[in-house]
Amino acid sequence: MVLTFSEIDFANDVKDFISMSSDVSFENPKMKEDILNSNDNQLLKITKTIASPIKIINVEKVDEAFLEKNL
Amino acid sequence: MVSVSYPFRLILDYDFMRWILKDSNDKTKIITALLHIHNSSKENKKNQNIILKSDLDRLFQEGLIKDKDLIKGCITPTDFSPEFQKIIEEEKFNEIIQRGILAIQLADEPPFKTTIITMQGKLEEYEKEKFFEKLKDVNFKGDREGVYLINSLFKKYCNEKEFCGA
Repeated sequence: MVLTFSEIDFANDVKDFISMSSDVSFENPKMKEDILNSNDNQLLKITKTIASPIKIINVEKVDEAFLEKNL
Repeated sequence: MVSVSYPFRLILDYDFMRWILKDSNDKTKIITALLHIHNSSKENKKNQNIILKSDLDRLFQEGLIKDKDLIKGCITPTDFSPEFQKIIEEEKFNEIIQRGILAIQLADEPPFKTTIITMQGKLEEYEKEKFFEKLKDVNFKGDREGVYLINSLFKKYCNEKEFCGA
């Protein structure tokens, strides 16, 4: 069974997570680039699956357009 | 990384959250502020802004929340321990006292103060409640003052961010 969940974090925390965790992979290598290129204080919504290993399957910037769409 | 010591934690009650999501013209602005405050708290990162789990469940059930993860990114739903839950059920405490008990629980940890934000029309119900008579570390604010407080905390974040050159 694959569990999917999303969390909102500052990009800096996500960068820490992906640099410290040995168990994280990406559905698309561009997602890693997008995270690393984000301003540290940019809020990101990260969707992950937890199977083995953790896979990041979606990265969204939590900006005004995102909030307008999702609130 | 910007990390801020906020002077108090926030409990947002059902009525205030309902108003933000359904009626406020500043919904995006308020949620943006709450997201930044919640994620930048030095002492309570991701636990700065709290909502009673039953309050959040009601908002979900009413279909007022499109993206649950987004809302959980700015407020953490919190429930009582089984021991507290038992007492609450035995004593039949109403939702106002339940939020008060939660506020007292939170004020046991830094920054030792909690502010409950509700709607102006509900404020009197909190202020009149005898259960809260002797409490000094739990405060209550109506929506206008509550939004002002949220903006003040967000300004604190913005100032710290500017100071850090982030």
